[in-house]
Amino acid sequence: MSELTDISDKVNLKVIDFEEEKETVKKYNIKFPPATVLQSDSDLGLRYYGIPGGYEFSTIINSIGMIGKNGVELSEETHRKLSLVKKKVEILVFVTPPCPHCPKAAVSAYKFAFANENIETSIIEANEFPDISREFSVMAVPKIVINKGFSFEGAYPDEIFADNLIKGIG
Amino acid sequence: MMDIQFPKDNADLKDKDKEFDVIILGAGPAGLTSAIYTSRSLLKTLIIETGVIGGEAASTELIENYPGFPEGVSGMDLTDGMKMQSEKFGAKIIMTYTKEVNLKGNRKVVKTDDGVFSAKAIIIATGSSPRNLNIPGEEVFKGRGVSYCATCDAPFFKDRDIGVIGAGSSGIQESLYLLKFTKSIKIVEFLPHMTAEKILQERIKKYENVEFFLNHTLKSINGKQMVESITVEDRKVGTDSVLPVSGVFIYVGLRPNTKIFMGSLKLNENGFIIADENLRTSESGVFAAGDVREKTLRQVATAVGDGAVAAFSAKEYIEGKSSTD
Repeated sequence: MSELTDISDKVNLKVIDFEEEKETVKKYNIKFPPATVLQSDSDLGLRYYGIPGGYEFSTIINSIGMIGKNGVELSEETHRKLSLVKKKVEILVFVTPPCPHCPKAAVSAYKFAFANENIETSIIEANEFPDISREFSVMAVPKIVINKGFSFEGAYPDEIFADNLIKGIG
Repeated sequence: MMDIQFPKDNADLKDKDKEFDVIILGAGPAGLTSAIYTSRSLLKTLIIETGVIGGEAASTELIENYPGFPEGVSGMDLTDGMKMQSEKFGAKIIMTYTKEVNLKGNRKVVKTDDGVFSAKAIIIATGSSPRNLNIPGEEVFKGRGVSYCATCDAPFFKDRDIGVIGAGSSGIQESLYLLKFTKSIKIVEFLPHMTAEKILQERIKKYENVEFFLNHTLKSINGKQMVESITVEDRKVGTDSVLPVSGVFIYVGLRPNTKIFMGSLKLNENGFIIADENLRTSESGVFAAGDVREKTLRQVATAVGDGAVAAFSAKEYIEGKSSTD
Protein backbone atom coordinates (compact mmCIF):
# COMPACT_ATOMS: atom_id res chain seq x y z
CA MET A 1 0.00 0.00 0.00
CA SER A 2 2.90 2.33 0.67
CA GLU A 3 3.67 2.40 -3.08
CA LEU A 4 0.33 4.09 -3.64
CA THR A 5 1.54 7.18 -1.83
CA ASP A 6 4.12 7.66 -4.60
CA ILE A 7 1.46 8.39 -7.20
CA SER A 8 0.51 11.75 -5.71
CA ASP A 9 1.36 13.82 -2.66
CA LYS A 10 -2.39 13.95 -2.09
CA VAL A 11 -2.45 10.23 -1.28
CA ASN A 12 -1.46 9.57 2.30
CA LEU A 13 -1.10 6.32 4.18
CA LYS A 14 -1.38 5.90 7.93
CA VAL A 15 -0.65 2.49 9.41
CA ILE A 16 -2.56 1.58 12.57
CA ASP A 17 -1.57 -1.27 14.90
CA PHE A 18 -4.73 -3.31 15.47
CA GLU A 19 -3.59 -4.57 18.88
CA GLU A 20 -1.99 -1.38 20.19
CA GLU A 21 -4.19 1.45 18.90
CA LYS A 22 -7.54 0.31 20.22
CA GLU A 23 -9.08 3.81 20.21
CA THR A 24 -8.56 4.25 16.49
CA VAL A 25 -9.67 0.71 15.74
CA LYS A 26 -12.87 1.39 17.68
CA LYS A 27 -13.41 4.77 16.02
CA TYR A 28 -13.37 3.17 12.58
CA ASN A 29 -15.23 0.09 13.81
CA ILE A 30 -12.61 -2.27 12.35
CA LYS A 31 -13.66 -5.81 13.11
CA PHE A 32 -10.52 -7.73 12.25
CA PRO A 33 -7.07 -7.16 10.69
CA PRO A 34 -5.78 -6.56 8.10
CA ALA A 35 -8.18 -3.84 7.07
CA THR A 36 -7.94 -0.69 4.97
CA VAL A 37 -10.05 2.40 5.50
CA LEU A 38 -10.34 4.55 2.39
CA GLN A 39 -11.29 8.08 3.31
CA SER A 40 -11.03 11.76 2.45
CA ASP A 41 -11.00 14.29 5.27
CA SER A 42 -14.00 12.46 6.61
CA ASP A 43 -14.94 8.80 7.00
CA LEU A 44 -16.80 7.70 3.85
CA GLY A 45 -17.80 4.26 5.15
CA LEU A 46 -15.39 2.40 2.86
CA ARG A 47 -13.58 -0.62 4.33
CA TYR A 48 -11.47 -3.32 2.69
CA TYR A 49 -10.76 -6.45 4.75
CA GLY A 50 -7.79 -8.50 3.57
CA ILE A 51 -4.96 -7.92 1.11
CA PRO A 52 -6.21 -6.37 -2.13
CA GLY A 53 -4.24 -8.58 -4.52
CA GLY A 54 -4.93 -9.70 -8.09
CA TYR A 55 -7.91 -8.01 -9.70
CA GLU A 56 -8.83 -6.43 -6.38
CA PHE A 57 -6.00 -3.94 -6.59
CA SER A 58 -8.07 -2.18 -9.25
CA THR A 59 -10.86 -1.71 -6.68
CA ILE A 60 -8.48 0.26 -4.47
CA ILE A 61 -7.15 2.31 -7.40
CA ASN A 62 -10.68 3.05 -8.57
CA SER A 63 -11.70 4.17 -5.10
CA ILE A 64 -8.73 6.47 -4.70
CA GLY A 65 -9.70 8.04 -8.04
CA MET A 66 -13.29 8.45 -6.87
CA ILE A 67 -12.27 10.07 -3.59
CA GLY A 68 -9.67 12.27 -5.30
CA LYS A 69 -12.18 13.61 -7.79
CA ASN A 70 -14.79 13.90 -5.05
CA GLY A 71 -17.30 12.57 -7.53
CA VAL A 72 -19.03 9.39 -8.42
CA GLU A 73 -20.22 8.15 -11.80
CA LEU A 74 -23.75 6.92 -11.46
CA SER A 75 -26.75 7.38 -13.74
CA GLU A 76 -29.58 9.68 -12.66
CA GLU A 77 -31.79 6.65 -12.21
CA THR A 78 -29.29 4.99 -9.86
CA HIS A 79 -28.94 8.23 -7.87
CA ARG A 80 -32.72 8.34 -7.60
CA LYS A 81 -32.84 4.77 -6.31
CA LEU A 82 -30.06 5.40 -3.80
CA SER A 83 -31.90 8.46 -2.52
CA LEU A 84 -34.56 6.04 -1.23
CA VAL A 85 -32.02 4.73 1.31
CA LYS A 86 -32.86 6.80 4.38
CA LYS A 87 -31.59 4.50 7.14
CA LYS A 88 -28.16 3.03 7.85
CA VAL A 89 -27.32 0.11 5.56
CA GLU A 90 -24.31 -2.17 5.63
CA ILE A 91 -23.22 -3.78 2.36
CA LEU A 92 -20.73 -6.65 2.50
CA VAL A 93 -19.11 -7.72 -0.78
CA PHE A 94 -17.19 -11.00 -0.65
CA VAL A 95 -14.46 -11.27 -3.29
CA THR A 96 -11.41 -13.34 -4.23
CA PRO A 97 -8.29 -11.88 -5.91
CA PRO A 98 -8.40 -14.02 -9.11
CA CYS A 99 -12.10 -13.25 -9.72
CA PRO A 100 -12.33 -10.85 -12.70
CA HIS A 101 -16.03 -10.11 -12.06
CA CYS A 102 -15.54 -9.09 -8.42
CA PRO A 103 -14.15 -5.54 -8.82
CA LYS A 104 -17.29 -4.54 -10.70
CA ALA A 105 -19.50 -5.43 -7.72
CA ALA A 106 -16.98 -4.01 -5.25
CA VAL A 107 -16.66 -0.69 -7.07
CA SER A 108 -20.45 -0.35 -7.43
CA ALA A 109 -20.87 -0.89 -3.69
CA TYR A 110 -18.16 1.67 -2.90
CA LYS A 111 -19.82 4.16 -5.26
CA PHE A 112 -23.11 3.65 -3.43
CA ALA A 113 -21.43 4.33 -0.07
CA PHE A 114 -19.76 7.42 -1.50
CA ALA A 115 -23.05 8.71 -2.93
CA ASN A 116 -25.18 8.12 0.18
CA GLU A 117 -23.85 8.63 3.70
CA ASN A 118 -26.34 6.09 5.09
CA ILE A 119 -24.54 3.33 3.21
CA GLU A 120 -21.38 1.64 4.51
CA THR A 121 -19.54 -0.86 2.35
CA SER A 122 -17.03 -3.48 3.44
CA ILE A 123 -15.24 -5.55 0.83
CA ILE A 124 -14.08 -8.87 2.33
CA GLU A 125 -11.44 -11.11 0.75
CA ALA A 126 -13.23 -14.40 1.29
CA ASN A 127 -10.16 -16.68 1.35
CA GLU A 128 -8.49 -14.67 4.09
CA PHE A 129 -11.51 -14.80 6.37
CA PRO A 130 -12.90 -18.33 6.07
CA ASP A 131 -14.94 -18.09 9.29
CA ILE A 132 -16.80 -14.98 8.12
CA SER A 133 -17.24 -16.56 4.67
CA ARG A 134 -18.74 -19.66 6.28
CA GLU A 135 -21.00 -17.52 8.48
CA PHE A 136 -22.50 -15.99 5.32
CA SER A 137 -22.39 -19.28 3.32
CA VAL A 138 -20.08 -17.86 0.67
CA MET A 139 -19.66 -20.47 -2.09
CA ALA A 140 -19.34 -18.14 -5.08
CA VAL A 141 -18.05 -14.63 -5.56
CA PRO A 142 -18.85 -11.83 -5.82
CA LYS A 143 -21.42 -12.35 -3.07
CA ILE A 144 -23.25 -9.31 -1.77
CA VAL A 145 -24.92 -9.30 1.64
CA ILE A 146 -27.25 -6.47 2.69
CA ASN A 147 -27.67 -5.78 6.42
CA LYS A 148 -26.35 -9.28 7.21
CA GLY A 149 -29.50 -10.83 5.71
CA PHE A 150 -30.59 -10.56 2.08
CA SER A 151 -27.88 -11.72 -0.31
CA PHE A 152 -27.21 -12.28 -4.00
CA GLU A 153 -24.29 -13.33 -6.19
CA GLY A 154 -22.87 -11.76 -9.32
CA ALA A 155 -21.71 -8.49 -10.85
CA TYR A 156 -24.56 -6.45 -12.26
CA PRO A 157 -24.99 -2.98 -13.76
CA ASP A 158 -25.32 -0.28 -11.07
CA GLU A 159 -29.07 0.11 -11.57
CA ILE A 160 -29.78 -3.59 -11.00
CA PHE A 161 -27.44 -3.66 -7.98
CA ALA A 162 -29.37 -0.64 -6.62
CA ASP A 163 -32.66 -2.52 -7.18
CA ASN A 164 -31.29 -5.46 -5.19
CA LEU A 165 -30.12 -3.09 -2.46
CA ILE A 166 -33.62 -1.62 -2.14
CA LYS A 167 -35.07 -5.15 -2.11
CA GLY A 168 -32.57 -6.14 0.60
CA ILE A 169 -33.56 -3.24 2.83
CA GLY A 170 -37.15 -4.42 2.56
CA MET B 1 7.61 3.11 -8.36
CA MET B 2 4.84 1.05 -9.84
CA ASP B 3 3.20 2.08 -13.08
CA ILE B 4 -0.18 2.96 -11.66
CA GLN B 5 -2.83 4.35 -13.97
CA PHE B 6 -6.06 5.78 -12.73
CA PRO B 7 -9.13 4.54 -14.55
CA LYS B 8 -10.53 6.76 -17.26
CA ASP B 9 -13.35 8.96 -16.07
CA ASN B 10 -16.45 8.37 -18.18
CA ALA B 11 -17.76 11.75 -17.08
CA ASP B 12 -14.78 13.39 -18.80
CA LEU B 13 -16.40 12.59 -22.14
CA LYS B 14 -18.11 15.80 -23.21
CA ASP B 15 -20.56 15.73 -26.11
CA LYS B 16 -17.96 16.58 -28.74
CA ASP B 17 -15.84 13.75 -27.43
CA LYS B 18 -18.58 11.22 -27.99
CA GLU B 19 -17.97 10.90 -31.72
CA PHE B 20 -15.45 8.29 -32.82
CA ASP B 21 -14.15 6.69 -35.99
CA VAL B 22 -14.58 3.22 -34.51
CA ILE B 23 -16.48 1.93 -31.50
CA ILE B 24 -15.53 -1.54 -30.33
CA LEU B 25 -18.07 -3.31 -28.16
CA GLY B 26 -16.25 -5.66 -25.79
CA ALA B 27 -12.78 -5.57 -24.24
CA GLY B 28 -11.80 -9.22 -24.51
CA PRO B 29 -8.83 -10.38 -26.63
CA ALA B 30 -10.70 -9.76 -29.91
CA GLY B 31 -11.85 -6.24 -29.00
CA LEU B 32 -8.52 -5.20 -27.50
CA THR B 33 -6.62 -6.49 -30.56
CA SER B 34 -8.97 -4.58 -32.85
CA ALA B 35 -8.28 -1.47 -30.78
CA ILE B 36 -4.51 -1.90 -31.12
CA TYR B 37 -4.87 -2.06 -34.91
CA THR B 38 -7.44 0.74 -35.35
CA SER B 39 -5.49 3.05 -33.02
CA ARG B 40 -2.29 2.40 -34.93
CA SER B 41 -4.23 3.36 -38.08
CA LEU B 42 -4.87 6.64 -36.26
CA LEU B 43 -8.57 6.00 -36.10
CA LYS B 44 -10.20 7.56 -33.04
CA THR B 45 -11.20 4.45 -31.12
CA LEU B 46 -13.51 3.82 -28.18
CA ILE B 47 -13.91 0.46 -26.46
CA ILE B 48 -17.08 -0.03 -24.41
CA GLU B 49 -17.02 -2.87 -21.90
CA THR B 50 -20.00 -3.88 -19.82
CA GLY B 51 -18.46 -6.65 -17.72
CA VAL B 52 -14.82 -7.59 -17.38
CA ILE B 53 -11.79 -6.23 -19.23
CA GLY B 54 -10.18 -9.34 -20.69
CA GLY B 55 -13.50 -11.13 -21.13
CA GLU B 56 -13.77 -14.86 -20.51
CA ALA B 57 -10.00 -15.20 -20.95
CA ALA B 58 -9.50 -13.08 -17.83
CA SER B 59 -10.89 -15.84 -15.64
CA THR B 60 -8.59 -18.54 -17.04
CA GLU B 61 -5.85 -19.34 -14.56
CA LEU B 62 -3.32 -20.53 -17.12
CA ILE B 63 -3.44 -20.27 -20.92
CA GLU B 64 -0.98 -22.79 -22.33
CA ASN B 65 -1.73 -22.64 -26.06
CA TYR B 66 -1.25 -18.95 -26.78
CA PRO B 67 1.96 -18.62 -28.80
CA GLY B 68 4.94 -16.86 -27.31
CA PHE B 69 4.50 -18.10 -23.75
CA PRO B 70 6.22 -21.51 -23.46
CA GLU B 71 5.42 -21.74 -19.74
CA GLY B 72 1.86 -20.56 -20.24
CA VAL B 73 0.46 -17.21 -19.18
CA SER B 74 -2.32 -16.25 -16.80
CA GLY B 75 -5.45 -14.88 -18.46
CA MET B 76 -5.18 -11.84 -16.22
CA ASP B 77 -1.59 -11.02 -17.24
CA LEU B 78 -2.21 -11.62 -20.93
CA THR B 79 -5.34 -9.50 -21.21
CA ASP B 80 -3.95 -6.78 -18.95
CA GLY B 81 -1.03 -6.49 -21.39
CA MET B 82 -3.45 -6.23 -24.32
CA LYS B 83 -5.36 -3.48 -22.51
CA MET B 84 -2.18 -1.48 -21.84
CA GLN B 85 -1.08 -1.97 -25.46
CA SER B 86 -4.38 -0.64 -26.84
CA GLU B 87 -4.30 2.39 -24.53
CA LYS B 88 -0.68 3.07 -25.41
CA PHE B 89 -1.73 3.65 -29.02
CA GLY B 90 -4.57 5.94 -28.00
CA ALA B 91 -7.69 3.78 -27.62
CA LYS B 92 -10.06 4.92 -24.90
CA ILE B 93 -11.78 2.31 -22.74
CA ILE B 94 -14.91 2.98 -20.75
CA MET B 95 -16.81 0.67 -18.43
CA THR B 96 -20.51 1.12 -18.83
CA TYR B 97 -23.69 -0.77 -19.60
CA THR B 98 -24.73 -0.78 -23.27
CA LYS B 99 -28.49 -0.45 -23.49
CA GLU B 100 -29.21 -0.15 -27.19
CA VAL B 101 -27.51 0.12 -30.58
CA ASN B 102 -28.56 1.57 -33.93
CA LEU B 103 -26.36 -0.02 -36.57
CA LYS B 104 -28.01 1.44 -39.65
CA GLY B 105 -26.77 4.42 -41.65
CA ASN B 106 -23.47 6.21 -41.86
CA ARG B 107 -23.21 6.93 -38.15
CA LYS B 108 -23.68 4.00 -35.84
CA VAL B 109 -25.11 4.88 -32.44
CA VAL B 110 -24.52 3.20 -29.08
CA LYS B 111 -26.68 4.17 -26.09
CA THR B 112 -25.13 3.48 -22.69
CA ASP B 113 -25.63 4.36 -19.04
CA ASP B 114 -22.99 7.04 -19.58
CA GLY B 115 -24.52 8.67 -22.60
CA VAL B 116 -24.79 8.23 -26.34
CA PHE B 117 -21.74 7.54 -28.51
CA SER B 118 -21.47 7.35 -32.28
CA ALA B 119 -18.93 6.12 -34.83
CA LYS B 120 -18.40 5.55 -38.53
CA ALA B 121 -17.86 1.83 -37.97
CA ILE B 122 -18.56 -0.65 -35.20
CA ILE B 123 -16.70 -3.81 -34.29
CA ILE B 124 -18.75 -6.21 -32.19
CA ALA B 125 -16.57 -8.28 -29.89
CA THR B 126 -19.01 -8.90 -27.05
CA GLY B 127 -17.95 -12.54 -26.74
CA SER B 128 -19.95 -15.25 -25.10
CA SER B 129 -20.90 -16.39 -21.62
CA PRO B 130 -21.01 -19.85 -20.05
CA ARG B 131 -24.14 -21.67 -21.16
CA ASN B 132 -26.66 -22.78 -18.57
CA LEU B 133 -28.07 -26.30 -18.62
CA ASN B 134 -31.52 -25.21 -17.44
CA ILE B 135 -32.05 -28.35 -15.39
CA PRO B 136 -33.79 -28.61 -12.00
CA GLY B 137 -31.63 -27.19 -9.21
CA GLU B 138 -29.24 -25.20 -11.39
CA GLU B 139 -30.78 -21.77 -10.77
CA VAL B 140 -31.72 -22.46 -7.14
CA PHE B 141 -28.20 -23.53 -6.17
CA LYS B 142 -26.28 -20.80 -8.00
CA GLY B 143 -23.92 -19.47 -5.36
CA ARG B 144 -24.82 -22.41 -3.10
CA GLY B 145 -22.59 -24.94 -4.78
CA VAL B 146 -23.21 -24.29 -8.48
CA SER B 147 -20.44 -22.27 -10.12
CA TYR B 148 -19.19 -21.37 -13.58
CA CYS B 149 -15.82 -19.87 -12.50
CA ALA B 150 -13.20 -22.23 -11.04
CA THR B 151 -10.56 -19.52 -10.54
CA CYS B 152 -13.08 -17.40 -8.59
CA ASP B 153 -14.64 -20.07 -6.40
CA ALA B 154 -12.30 -23.09 -6.16
CA PRO B 155 -11.06 -22.36 -2.59
CA PHE B 156 -14.60 -22.69 -1.24
CA PHE B 157 -14.53 -26.38 -2.21
CA LYS B 158 -11.35 -27.31 -0.37
CA ASP B 159 -11.28 -31.03 0.50
CA ARG B 160 -14.78 -31.53 -0.92
CA ASP B 161 -16.12 -33.97 -3.50
CA ILE B 162 -17.39 -32.05 -6.52
CA GLY B 163 -18.82 -32.63 -9.99
CA VAL B 164 -17.62 -31.01 -13.21
CA ILE B 165 -20.09 -31.05 -16.07
CA GLY B 166 -18.55 -31.13 -19.53
CA ALA B 167 -15.34 -32.83 -20.71
CA GLY B 168 -14.38 -30.30 -23.36
CA SER B 169 -11.15 -28.31 -23.04
CA SER B 170 -12.70 -25.82 -20.60
CA GLY B 171 -14.12 -28.55 -18.35
CA ILE B 172 -10.88 -30.53 -18.21
CA GLN B 173 -8.60 -27.48 -17.91
CA GLU B 174 -10.66 -26.16 -15.02
CA SER B 175 -10.84 -29.64 -13.43
CA LEU B 176 -7.03 -29.73 -13.38
CA TYR B 177 -7.10 -26.41 -11.51
CA LEU B 178 -9.87 -27.53 -9.15
CA LEU B 179 -7.85 -30.65 -8.24
CA LYS B 180 -5.44 -28.37 -6.36
CA PHE B 181 -8.26 -27.81 -3.86
CA THR B 182 -10.85 -30.57 -4.00
CA LYS B 183 -10.81 -34.10 -2.59
CA SER B 184 -12.26 -35.69 -5.71
CA ILE B 185 -13.97 -34.82 -9.00
CA LYS B 186 -16.71 -36.64 -10.87
CA ILE B 187 -16.64 -35.56 -14.51
CA VAL B 188 -19.96 -35.90 -16.32
CA GLU B 189 -19.98 -35.79 -20.14
CA PHE B 190 -22.97 -36.17 -22.45
CA LEU B 191 -20.90 -37.66 -25.28
CA PRO B 192 -19.29 -41.14 -25.03
CA HIS B 193 -15.84 -39.53 -25.11
CA MET B 194 -13.98 -36.44 -23.93
CA THR B 195 -13.62 -33.63 -26.47
CA ALA B 196 -10.81 -31.78 -24.66
CA GLU B 197 -7.39 -31.31 -26.25
CA LYS B 198 -5.57 -34.67 -26.11
CA ILE B 199 -2.81 -33.29 -23.88
CA LEU B 200 -5.43 -32.31 -21.28
CA GLN B 201 -7.08 -35.75 -21.53
CA GLU B 202 -3.76 -37.46 -20.84
CA ARG B 203 -3.14 -35.25 -17.81
CA ILE B 204 -6.53 -35.74 -16.18
CA LYS B 205 -6.43 -39.52 -16.65
CA LYS B 206 -3.43 -39.67 -14.31
CA TYR B 207 -5.47 -38.62 -11.30
CA GLU B 208 -6.87 -41.44 -9.19
CA ASN B 209 -9.39 -39.18 -7.51
CA VAL B 210 -11.11 -38.33 -10.82
CA GLU B 211 -14.03 -40.50 -11.89
CA PHE B 212 -15.55 -40.27 -15.38
CA PHE B 213 -19.24 -40.53 -16.21
CA LEU B 214 -19.06 -40.45 -20.01
CA ASN B 215 -22.23 -40.85 -22.07
CA HIS B 216 -24.19 -39.53 -19.06
CA THR B 217 -26.73 -36.72 -18.84
CA LEU B 218 -26.96 -34.47 -15.81
CA LYS B 219 -30.65 -34.55 -14.86
CA SER B 220 -30.78 -32.52 -11.65
CA ILE B 221 -28.80 -30.84 -8.92
CA ASN B 222 -30.15 -31.75 -5.49
CA GLY B 223 -29.94 -30.52 -1.90
CA LYS B 224 -31.69 -28.57 0.84
CA GLN B 225 -29.82 -25.32 1.52
CA MET B 226 -26.68 -26.27 -0.40
CA VAL B 227 -25.79 -28.75 -3.14
CA GLU B 228 -25.71 -32.28 -1.74
CA SER B 229 -25.82 -34.48 -4.85
CA ILE B 230 -26.39 -34.69 -8.58
CA THR B 231 -28.54 -37.13 -10.50
CA VAL B 232 -27.06 -38.48 -13.74
CA GLU B 233 -28.53 -40.81 -16.31
CA ASP B 234 -26.50 -43.45 -18.14
CA ARG B 235 -27.57 -42.80 -21.73
CA LYS B 236 -26.74 -46.33 -22.85
CA VAL B 237 -28.84 -48.26 -20.35
CA GLY B 238 -31.17 -45.47 -19.20
CA THR B 239 -30.57 -45.87 -15.46
CA ASP B 240 -30.18 -42.99 -12.99
CA SER B 241 -27.47 -42.67 -10.35
CA VAL B 242 -27.27 -40.18 -7.49
CA LEU B 243 -23.71 -38.97 -6.91
CA PRO B 244 -22.95 -37.22 -3.60
CA VAL B 245 -21.14 -33.92 -4.31
CA SER B 246 -21.12 -30.54 -2.57
CA GLY B 247 -20.30 -28.49 -5.63
CA VAL B 248 -20.97 -28.48 -9.36
CA PHE B 249 -18.90 -26.58 -11.92
CA ILE B 250 -20.62 -26.30 -15.30
CA TYR B 251 -18.71 -26.08 -18.60
CA VAL B 252 -21.15 -27.08 -21.31
CA GLY B 253 -20.39 -24.54 -23.99
CA LEU B 254 -21.06 -20.90 -24.62
CA ARG B 255 -23.99 -18.66 -25.44
CA PRO B 256 -23.28 -15.52 -27.47
CA ASN B 257 -23.78 -12.07 -25.98
CA THR B 258 -25.93 -10.89 -28.89
CA LYS B 259 -29.27 -10.04 -27.29
CA ILE B 260 -29.10 -6.34 -28.21
CA PHE B 261 -28.30 -7.17 -31.87
CA MET B 262 -31.34 -9.36 -32.44
CA GLY B 263 -33.34 -7.93 -35.30
CA SER B 264 -30.44 -5.72 -36.47
CA LEU B 265 -27.95 -8.35 -37.64
CA LYS B 266 -28.08 -11.77 -39.25
CA LEU B 267 -27.50 -14.38 -36.53
CA ASN B 268 -27.32 -18.16 -36.81
CA GLU B 269 -29.80 -20.49 -35.07
CA ASN B 270 -27.74 -20.38 -31.86
CA GLY B 271 -27.54 -16.58 -31.84
CA PHE B 272 -23.94 -16.19 -33.06
CA ILE B 273 -23.31 -13.36 -35.57
CA ILE B 274 -22.77 -14.48 -39.14
CA ALA B 275 -19.80 -12.71 -40.77
CA ASP B 276 -17.85 -13.26 -43.98
CA GLU B 277 -14.11 -13.96 -44.20
CA ASN B 278 -13.37 -10.25 -43.82
CA LEU B 279 -15.64 -10.27 -40.75
CA ARG B 280 -18.27 -8.05 -42.36
CA THR B 281 -21.73 -8.66 -40.92
CA SER B 282 -25.09 -8.27 -42.66
CA GLU B 283 -25.00 -4.54 -41.88
CA SER B 284 -22.63 -2.25 -43.76
CA GLY B 285 -19.92 -0.79 -41.49
CA VAL B 286 -20.52 -3.36 -38.74
CA PHE B 287 -17.92 -6.07 -38.14
CA ALA B 288 -17.79 -9.03 -35.76
CA ALA B 289 -14.74 -10.54 -34.06
CA GLY B 290 -14.02 -13.30 -31.58
CA ASP B 291 -16.32 -15.70 -29.73
CA VAL B 292 -19.45 -13.74 -30.65
CA ARG B 293 -19.37 -14.83 -34.28
CA GLU B 294 -20.18 -18.13 -35.92
CA LYS B 295 -16.90 -20.08 -36.12
CA THR B 296 -15.48 -23.50 -35.37
CA LEU B 297 -12.79 -22.74 -32.76
CA ARG B 298 -13.16 -20.24 -29.94
CA GLN B 299 -9.72 -19.59 -28.46
CA VAL B 300 -7.66 -16.52 -27.53
CA ALA B 301 -5.45 -17.22 -30.56
CA THR B 302 -8.40 -17.14 -32.96
CA ALA B 303 -9.97 -14.12 -31.22
CA VAL B 304 -6.77 -12.14 -31.67
CA GLY B 305 -6.68 -13.02 -35.39
CA ASP B 306 -10.30 -11.94 -35.73
CA GLY B 307 -9.55 -8.67 -33.97
CA ALA B 308 -6.84 -7.78 -36.46
CA VAL B 309 -8.96 -8.70 -39.50
CA ALA B 310 -12.03 -6.82 -38.24
CA ALA B 311 -9.91 -3.72 -37.57
CA PHE B 312 -8.43 -3.88 -41.07
CA SER B 313 -11.88 -4.26 -42.61
CA ALA B 314 -13.21 -1.34 -40.55
CA LYS B 315 -10.31 0.82 -41.70
CA GLU B 316 -10.95 -0.12 -45.36
CA TYR B 317 -14.64 0.64 -44.92
CA ILE B 318 -14.00 4.07 -43.37
CA GLU B 319 -11.41 4.99 -46.03
CA GLY B 320 -13.80 3.85 -48.78
CA LYS B 321 -16.55 5.97 -47.33
CA SER B 322 -14.26 9.01 -47.08
CA SER B 323 -13.21 8.73 -50.71
CA THR B 324 -16.81 8.56 -51.91
CA ASP B 325 -18.18 11.27 -49.58
